[in-house]
Amino acid sequence: MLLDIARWIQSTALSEALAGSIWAYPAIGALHVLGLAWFGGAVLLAALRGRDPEARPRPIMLWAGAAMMIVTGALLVAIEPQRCATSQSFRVKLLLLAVLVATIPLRPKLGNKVNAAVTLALWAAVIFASRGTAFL
Amino acid sequence: MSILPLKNSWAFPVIEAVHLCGVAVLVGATVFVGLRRLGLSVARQPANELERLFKPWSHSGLAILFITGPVMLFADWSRYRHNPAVGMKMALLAPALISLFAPRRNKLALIVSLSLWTAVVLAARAIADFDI
Repeated sequence: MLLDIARWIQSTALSEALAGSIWAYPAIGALHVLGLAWFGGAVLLAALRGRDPEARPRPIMLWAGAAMMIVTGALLVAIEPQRCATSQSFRVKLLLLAVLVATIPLRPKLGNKVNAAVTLALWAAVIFASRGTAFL
Repeated sequence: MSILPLKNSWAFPVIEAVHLCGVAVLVGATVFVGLRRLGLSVARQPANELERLFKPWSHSGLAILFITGPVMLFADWSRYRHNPAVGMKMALLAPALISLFAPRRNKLALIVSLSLWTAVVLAARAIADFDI
């Protein structure tokens, strides 16, 4: 199924244009890493202060970070859809992101310390799986 | 010649991932506190309180970066030596590190600091693009 989606993405004009440009991959890849650097602080604060709505980052920071990562991430997939579809590491990354989103209402119930540890461990695992996508 | 024979082993991407975790924590915390100090409402707490909260994390992040960075560099020094992005990154890193200790309430210094860290990340990312 993932391969079918990859073939469809590859057939789109956007994917063809991006794959044909020597600038697309370095530029979009740079913006994707920059998103990590600019919004990592908001994610860290949200994880450390999960239970206290007064002490959490403004939601706009989390939404802006998510938007930047999803848009640049989707464009990176559009450049190399087949590679992503066949990468075990990329599947693990998507699974970890799904777990992070699905457990948003549950994790604060774990208590501040456990919530912070679980949340940050999941985010670290996402970074490991992301790096792995270039190799596995 | 490779001083640490890691370049083509599984250890290299693992160290890269640890380095990226360090970036997310150190640069993330620095940018977040910097934006708060500039008056942006990124959180309710005042910048000093955010800085105190982030401090142990920033210090750990910095330590992680200073360990994993040189390990990667020396893993294939003969190759990175000729990479223009490496020199650019180091040239930007020096003032960026100094800016961590810059006057806290000077807006211009804050904007310069955030721009420097942004440029360091971009130059670091470019190392892979110039790695032929």
